[in-house]
Order: sequence, then C-alpha cells, then structure tokens
Amino acid sequence: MIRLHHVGLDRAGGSRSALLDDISLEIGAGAFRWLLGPSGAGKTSLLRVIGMGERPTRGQVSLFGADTQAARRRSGRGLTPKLRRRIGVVYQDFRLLPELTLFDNVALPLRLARRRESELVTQARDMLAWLGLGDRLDALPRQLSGGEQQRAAIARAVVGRPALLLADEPTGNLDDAQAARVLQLFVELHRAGSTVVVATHNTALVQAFAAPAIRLAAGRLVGHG
Amino acid sequence: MAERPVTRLRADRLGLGRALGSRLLPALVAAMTFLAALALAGMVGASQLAGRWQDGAGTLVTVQVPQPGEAAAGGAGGRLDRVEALLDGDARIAAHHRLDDTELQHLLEPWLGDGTKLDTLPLPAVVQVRLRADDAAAGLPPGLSAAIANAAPGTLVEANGVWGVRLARLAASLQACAALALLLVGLVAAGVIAVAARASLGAKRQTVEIVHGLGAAPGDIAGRFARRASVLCAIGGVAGSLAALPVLVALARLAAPFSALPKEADDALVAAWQARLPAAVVTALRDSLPSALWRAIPALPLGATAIGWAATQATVRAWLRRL
Ligand SMILES: Nc1ncnc2c1ncn2[C@@H]1O[C@H](COP(=O)(O)OP(=O)(O)OP(=O)(O)O)[C@@H](O)[C@H]1O
Ligand SMILES: [Mg+2]
Repeated sequence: MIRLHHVGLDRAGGSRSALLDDISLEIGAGAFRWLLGPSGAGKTSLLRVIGMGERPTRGQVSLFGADTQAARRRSGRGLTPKLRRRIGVVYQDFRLLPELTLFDNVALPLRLARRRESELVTQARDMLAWLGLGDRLDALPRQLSGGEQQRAAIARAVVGRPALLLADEPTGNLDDAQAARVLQLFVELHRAGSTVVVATHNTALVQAFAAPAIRLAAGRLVGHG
Repeated sequence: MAERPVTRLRADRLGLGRALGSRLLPALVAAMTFLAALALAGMVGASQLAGRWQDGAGTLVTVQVPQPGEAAAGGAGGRLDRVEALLDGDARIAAHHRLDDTELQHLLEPWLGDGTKLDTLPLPAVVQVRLRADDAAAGLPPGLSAAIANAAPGTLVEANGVWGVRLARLAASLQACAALALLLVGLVAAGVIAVAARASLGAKRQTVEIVHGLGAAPGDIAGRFARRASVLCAIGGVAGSLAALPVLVALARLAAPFSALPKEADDALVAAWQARLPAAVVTALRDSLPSALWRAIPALPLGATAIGWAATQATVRAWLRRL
C-alpha cells in the first residue's frame, strides 16, 4: 500500500542535517498508524513525501503499487492526478482556499472526482454538519476560528472517502470533545478499509485508539509497529 | 440554504476564476496587434506593387530596328516586315505596335525640338511589344531574339522585364522583412503573455498548489488560466486591429497612385457584406483598403487569441510540472 525505500529528504538550503534520513517502511492497505515524535522530528516532512506533496531527494515511494517518481515522469503524467485524488490530506496549516466558501472547499475533492452535483451537495453538507459546521456553509475561511478551519480541513480530507488519509496534527486546535469526534471519524474510515496515518502530539488521542506507531526523531525512524 | 453557493460557484469551482486579472495584458496585446497590422499591410502592399508592375510596365519590351526599309538578311522582304512577322508568329507575345511618325516625334521632341522632320534622319523603327504576363521576367524569348538578330542584324531589344525582376526581388525581400516583423511581434506577444501568466500564477500560487495537490489535472488548471488569457488577448486583438484600420486606410490612400485599389476588390467578399451593410458603405470600405488586407485583418485578433491560449497553457503546464 505505502512503501518507502531508503527515503531521504534534504533541506532546501542543502546545508545541515537532512529533514528525513534513510527511511524505509511499509504500511499495509487498510492499516491505522500513529505518527509520533517531538516537534521538528520530521513528521510533516514525511507526510508530505508520502502524499506526493514533495519529491524525496533519495529513495523511492510507492503508493497503491505505483512508483510515485515514475508516475511523475512524462509517460505517467495522467497518473499523478489520479493518485492524488485517492489521498485525503489534513494539513497542519489547513490550506483552505481563501476565496471559496466552506461548502465549496469541502465539495472541491468531490468535484475534482467528477461526482454529480446533486450527489455531492448532500455529502459535503452532511460531513460539515457532522463536524458541527452545518450553519457555516457560506462562510469564507478567514471568517472562521482556528478550530472551525481545522474541522473544515478535516471535512475536505475525508469527504471523498479516500483510500489513504494523511492527517497532520488534526486536533491541534480542537477541544477534547471535538477531538474525540474527529478520531471517531478516522476510525470509521479505517474500518471501512482506508489506510490512515495520523501525526499528533496529543497523547490522550493516541491512548483512545490502540494502533501501531511510527516514531521519528531528528528525521530518522526510531520505531515502527 | 446551500443552494446559492453551489450555483454561484459552479463557474469557478477551483477558485481560479480571476486568474490573470490584468488590465495591462489587453493593452500590450492591442499594441502588438497594431504593429502586426502594419507589418501585414507592408506584406500586402509589397506584393501588390510587384504584381502591378508585372502586369504593366514590366511586360513591355522595346524593339528598335535600324534601316527598317532595307532588305532583310536572306532576302524575302524588308527588315521591319520580317521582325513584325516574327513577332506575329510567337504565342508568347500578347501584342505589338509600331510607333508611327507622330508618336516618334512626340517621343523625340525633348531631344530634337518640334520642328525636325523625321524622314531626314536615319531613325530606327520602334516597335513596342507587350509580353504575356507570366513570361515578362525573362524579356523576349531567347529563340525569338536570335531569329530577330538573324533577320535584321543590329536590332536592339530593351526589356523592362529586367527591372521587373529586380522589383520582384525587392518586393520579395520587403515581404520577407514584413513576415519577419510579424513573426517577431508574435514571439514578443507570446513572451509577454507568458510573463503575465507567471505573474498570475504567483498571485494564485497557494490556490494552484492546493488544487493541484487535491488532484486537479494539469490540463484543467492550465485551461482555466488559458481561457481567461484568451479572452483578454481577444479584447486586445480586436482593439489593436480597430485602432490600426484608420492608419492603414491613410497609408493606402498615400500609396493609391501605385496600387489602384478598386480593381483589386474581391467580388465574393463584397457580395457577402452587401447583404449586411448599405451598398454605399460597402463600396467605401472596399475602396479604402486592398481586399487581401480586408481578409487578413480579422485573422489578427484570432491570432492574438490563439497565441494567448497557447502561451498560457505552456507556461502553466511547465510550472505545474515542477511541483
Ligand atoms: N521547507 C523547509 N525547508 C527547510 N527546513 C524545513 C522545511 N520545512 C520544515 N523544515 C524543518 O524541518 C524540520 C522538520 O520539520 P517538520 O515540519 O517535518 O517537523 P514536525 O515533526 O512536523 O514538527 P511539528 O510537530 O512541530 O509539526 C524542522 O527543523 C523544520 O524547521
Ligand atoms: Mg508538523
């Protein structure tokens, strides 16, 4: 499902130590993994590399059995959008589109997947309602609190039922009750067959659902499983 | 409740609607379309000038036969009669005409004064020969020249066609220059449009990166930028062409003695417009510019639109490939 083979990622400047150093791991289809490590360990960097947000400097990443480097090359150009559409990402910094309403932000992955408009309206609305944003459909991201933006980002990542969900510190701005609700959503997705990787510092959250952890420190893998 | 945003944003579901929102771009494209129109007029003008020369003075050959009355070489008639017979017998000659005494007198007046009696001078007979247009460049056919030289030795043949060839070459190089100018204007336009596309990609960078990350096809993203660029370029192209029209008409009027416009008019084009506009307007328009220009000018906004579309597509796709 996800396979990293001696993956390395250098800093933009090229100096100092690498962001990621010689990481090899495998995550089976339908698995749930916590991604743990101190701040600055490289969790976001690893999720970016897995989610095709960044090309690794060294090594190979394969997703759904496809080599992402090969997919990016000329011959497989039509493949990368397809791969990306099977991945849902909750970014640590949300990345909502500032000029779209909450509803349109959440509908975006469905529209890119060419779902029918009548169908996606209910899906997006239900998802936002479940995360407590049912009355903010017309709001623009800048009119929302940090927690509301985070929940919108989660809704956008999950609404298309992606085969792979990558969540980066998804409860950083949420209270405990909201965090529990979000975890429930992720676990449901995992039970329905999706692969889920959640990077977090939230120990209460990790304790609430028993699953293997990938541990990073200073860009290196220090524990897996 | 959510119906409103759905319908409102159907046209702009990726949030890229105002991409390339520049007012400068149409203005630059208008300026370049204007230049392209001038280059186009140069091309048409040069080819017309060359064409008219080929049909007119370029087809004329002057044949001077000294001692026209004496016997031709090899017997059989006078020298002039033989030359005229040879000219008659050649299919490549459209017409020939021997200048009579009055015409000769008129021709020689500046040199001899008007009182001179021509028959007291040993003047050659002068025959003006008009060649068929497609043979004009070569002068008299070589076989014919040789036959004339045999029959009436000393006969002089002066072909204006030599000048026609030179003029045709001049016109061809003018046309090449104009075509080069047109090409350069197109390349500069493509460059300007690419820079504008880069600028609007920069302004929309975050949105483009997110949408790309969510799996939007590069063609879809590039298409949105390219459509907007096409519209802006079309506006600029139309404005530039319209601005060029009065200038072209003024230039055509200056060049009118050399190009005799109405004869060039294209009947099909005129007929097509007569159905839509008052006849007087159509006639005035027809007479104001060569029909080749009337046909070429509408291509300019189309060209600007196409360049805008293609340059933007290429720029955006290249940028996305690096993500
Ligand atoms: N684009 C970048 N260029 C250079 N250095 C970077 C870049 N992004 C992150 N870093 C550095 O890389 C290291 C790892 O960053 P990363 O965001 O992956 O850590 P993290 O484990 O997600 O941390 P946190 O828990 O605080 O989110 C940090 O030292 C950070 O300063
Ligand atoms: Mg992080």
